[in-house]
Amino acid sequence: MKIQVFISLKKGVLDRESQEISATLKRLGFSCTLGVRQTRIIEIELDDMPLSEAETIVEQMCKKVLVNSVIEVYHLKTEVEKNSRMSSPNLPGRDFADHVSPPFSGILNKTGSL
Amino acid sequence: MTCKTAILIFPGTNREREMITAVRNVTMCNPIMIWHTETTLPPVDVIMIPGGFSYGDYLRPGAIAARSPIMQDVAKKSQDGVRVLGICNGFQILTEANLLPGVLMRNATLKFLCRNTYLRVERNDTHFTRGYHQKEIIKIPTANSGGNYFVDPLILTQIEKEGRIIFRYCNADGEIDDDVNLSGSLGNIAGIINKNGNILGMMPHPENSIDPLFGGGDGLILFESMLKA
Repeated sequence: MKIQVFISLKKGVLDRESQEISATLKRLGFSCTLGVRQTRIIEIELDDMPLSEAETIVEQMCKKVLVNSVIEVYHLKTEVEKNSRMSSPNLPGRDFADHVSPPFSGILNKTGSL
Repeated sequence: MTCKTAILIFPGTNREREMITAVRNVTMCNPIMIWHTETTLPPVDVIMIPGGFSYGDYLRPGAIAARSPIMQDVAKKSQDGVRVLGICNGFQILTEANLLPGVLMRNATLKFLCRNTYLRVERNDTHFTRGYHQKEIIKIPTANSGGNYFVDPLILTQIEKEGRIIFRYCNADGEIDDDVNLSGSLGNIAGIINKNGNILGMMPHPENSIDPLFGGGDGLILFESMLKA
């Protein structure tokens, strides 16, 4: 199982790096650029476990170290692998994830803020 | 009487030699060097966290170092009243460890700033600044790319009210304006103290200003203030 943590600066916090990227894009002729917002992505691979448990653990990681709540916000995206043990407990030999809807396949979004 | 001092070392710390010299000059004793994987500090009166790039500034400056094993004991000792000084990356580590409020962001100029800066001493009734005059203007070198102090407006109001801003960037006449605030710090903040008055974090480097032969001695007074009981 893989969970991605998307971390960006809170609205209202001066993001000089993004401003500089935006200015550079305009200088290069992309005058349509209205604004740029940088986001850092941290991908975390986890043991197979129930989705809610995995997200709880990653939330704890965010609060403990990955995110600085003074200036940053985050949201999570969860990817469950097709051959995950979780996804096909009752259908041996079949690629269960191809035939079911979320939460057992695809991408799930969860937004969090500290 | 002089104080027993511990200096913390993390992978990427690079200002410890100057700090050792400053401590030796004042106390005539060697500080105890503590590797970050230690879990317990020896009995000391002062803990110092030097500048540098702990853990290569991975994740955020000071973020990983703040979660090092030794930092739990730093938090505990500071609650017992041990004085803690964090300079530059040391300041970043103290904010990341929640021992001081706020965060140090990339400089507003997006440049590494390496120059002498004038600071105004906002309070001289602290363990760290009692050797200075009130509102004294001191010249201390600055060298960082992430000295842009930011904090929630409500907390800023609170620390202003409680007199916890100890140093502000100013010009040679002591005036506080945007022109001298190249890092972009809120309120021209260069250094703050905790509520109990025993933890100081500052971005400029007083340990680099301890000898008139090397550009001035204004920083030495800070070490004398905190190391001579």
